[in-house]
Amino acid sequence: MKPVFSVAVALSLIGLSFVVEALAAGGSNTNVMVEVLIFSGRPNPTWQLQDTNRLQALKGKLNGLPEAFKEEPAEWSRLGFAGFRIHGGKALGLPDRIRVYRGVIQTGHGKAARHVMDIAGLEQWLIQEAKQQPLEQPIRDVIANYETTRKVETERR
Amino acid sequence: MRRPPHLPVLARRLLTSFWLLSGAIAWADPCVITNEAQGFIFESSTRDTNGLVTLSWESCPDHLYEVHASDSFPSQATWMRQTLVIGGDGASSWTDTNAPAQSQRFYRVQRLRFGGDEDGDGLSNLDEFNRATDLRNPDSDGDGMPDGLEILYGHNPLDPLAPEDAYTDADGDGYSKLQEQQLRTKPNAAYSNPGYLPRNLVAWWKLDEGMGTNVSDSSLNRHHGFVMGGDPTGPWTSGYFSNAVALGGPSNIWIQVPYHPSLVPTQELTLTGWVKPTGQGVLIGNWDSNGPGNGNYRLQFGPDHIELWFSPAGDGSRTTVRFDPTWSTNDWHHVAIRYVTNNLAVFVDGELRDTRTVLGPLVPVPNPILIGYPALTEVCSVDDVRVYNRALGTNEIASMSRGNGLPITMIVGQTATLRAFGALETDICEWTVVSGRGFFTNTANYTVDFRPSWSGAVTVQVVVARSGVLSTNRSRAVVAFPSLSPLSDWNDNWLAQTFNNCYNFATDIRTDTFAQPGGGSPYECPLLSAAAVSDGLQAEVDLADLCHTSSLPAGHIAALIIYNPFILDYHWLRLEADGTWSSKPGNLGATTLDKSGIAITDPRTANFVGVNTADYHFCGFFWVGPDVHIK
Repeated sequence: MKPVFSVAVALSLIGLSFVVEALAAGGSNTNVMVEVLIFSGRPNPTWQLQDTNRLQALKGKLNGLPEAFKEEPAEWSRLGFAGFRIHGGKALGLPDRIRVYRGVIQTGHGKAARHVMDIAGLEQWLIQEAKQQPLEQPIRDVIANYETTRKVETERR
Repeated sequence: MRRPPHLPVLARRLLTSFWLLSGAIAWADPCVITNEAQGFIFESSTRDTNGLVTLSWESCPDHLYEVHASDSFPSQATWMRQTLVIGGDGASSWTDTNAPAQSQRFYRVQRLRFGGDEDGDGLSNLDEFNRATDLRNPDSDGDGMPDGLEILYGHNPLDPLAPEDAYTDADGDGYSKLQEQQLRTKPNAAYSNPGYLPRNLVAWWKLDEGMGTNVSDSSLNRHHGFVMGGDPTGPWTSGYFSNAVALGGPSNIWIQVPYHPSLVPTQELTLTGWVKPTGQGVLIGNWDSNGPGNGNYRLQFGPDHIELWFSPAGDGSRTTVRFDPTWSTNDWHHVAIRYVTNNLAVFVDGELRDTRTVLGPLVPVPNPILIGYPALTEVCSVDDVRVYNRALGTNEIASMSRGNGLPITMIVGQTATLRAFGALETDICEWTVVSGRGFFTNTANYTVDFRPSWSGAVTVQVVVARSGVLSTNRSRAVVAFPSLSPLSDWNDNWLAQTFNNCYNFATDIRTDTFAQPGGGSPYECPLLSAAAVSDGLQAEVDLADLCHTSSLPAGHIAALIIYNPFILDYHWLRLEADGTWSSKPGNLGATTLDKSGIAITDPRTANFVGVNTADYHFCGFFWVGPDVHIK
């Protein structure tokens, strides 16, 4: 463990939670961040969620969603686009980090992680949110291709 | 995984010094450091009625004040540290009770933040103050372990000989904390060890110096010795491996190593070395050289005998093992002593020759270790003397002695000098790698340099032809890459996974900063390679021919892939000890699989398609040595 940075990161995350909480309580803008999981070396693109209503709606439903699988599949740690990660959900009463990929919502980490079916359409909502962001064109293309692939997969079921 | 050091630079930037002009001074705002030299000097001409000099200043609660004095004018001053004063909310003062009565004395006070770390040893200034360690010396007791590490591992940073200290093996991997600290492996994790040093090696005098009077301990445990006697620069001669020492004789030469408890392991012990028994000599011993004396062990040899004195109690009583090894006197022979569970064994040229039952454990006698012995009149040669705190296996000893010098374990990049056992210079020797991967260089018939080029087992064979008669000798080594942190270190901890990327993982250095090569570089192969080189990596490693790794320090291999032009990104992998590759895609989990879910045996042919089949290119292999620093 690298204590200096770890502590700094932890403090900043705690601080972020307080800010998010305060802002959410006021009903205005939030500091809930969405990260596009796409890069290996360079930092991933992120944007700040303006409207968290969709997440708020998830609050009461998350525990009731059916489990998708127990352990994170190996293909979730591969190169290329790997979904979205929402940071700062704790202020909304949600897990602090939520990953959404291939129709599954992941909360927690490691052996404590939970994977439930994204019946709430969170992934599609994030895709639509992403389209509204000033992301680099290749990233927008990647997300568009992913959306097409997901639709095909969903229709096959 | 390695960690960067603390940030002493930041602390130094915060250091402030000022000069006292009079007995009491004050800053406009003493807690704000704005200028490092504020120009106040105090002269000792200001004294109280008792003739004492008292300095006082306005101090801050989160600072230490270090007072220096000089009896020379400040421009020529050699400042001597006098004391450390902890800051308070108001005035601080200090009285110099040793100021010279008549002459002038000058004082300087330096202001140090509590949280700073002047010597970069990982302990804050306040910590050092509280523990009475030297905040300007990273190793206060001079035992080789920085103060911060000593505290981390529960040692006494002020006791160089503390029994629980640097020479112990906390994680039981066979390497002392001191060895692991120097080789940047974890002293508290058995999986992390410097695999290319023999395990449980307490001291290793290769005797390869070839000149001078110093004898280095290659075990990294700092048991360095000195050549003693009438001609201390003159013992060097050619050895079984490289150089050796010729001891005794008219010049009365021997080697002395200062006593340390670790040199007399109490439970298990192995002593080994090479001797050329042209005369009577001593391979190693800690027997007192004055009179009959006492000690724990001493191995004497000569043309017609080996004589071992062994005394666990060290009280003068001893068990003596003596026999005629019937060996050639002008050749090198390997001798080993092994002690474990009351069993004492003597090996010559890899063969067990005699045993005794001797009750232990050993009680160390605090005598220096002697290689050779004072006043021996005959000349004999000694090479490659080792002390282990483990009972080596019979096969290990046999391999050391009859195995042509091939170590039991090696690492890619390391070179071993081999010599055909029993061969003469006039014999014809044919060397081959029977299994595994490696190659020979510097072939000089009966000696060669061998370098393994891949991890795994390797078997080397030499066929010696003498007068038409062929004899074959094979030896085997296990070759490894240095220990890398397991994938679970990166995956089980959320912070480690989220704030470290492929570059962190491939270099095995956790920074929690999502490190970028060179601190940031365009995502093009030449520029990213140059950026990585600026971090200390070595570029253009040819994986097909690792010959050049012979000149590289210990380390491991990494590979770089570029995603350009479709998506601008890059990806690093690292070579594991088993020959497969692993990587960590961004802030996702580390994995041994490629995009197709297949184990990676060659990153040039594995599937690393990111988001587009045409977007990635293999850039090159790199060597990650011990001096890599990423940010």
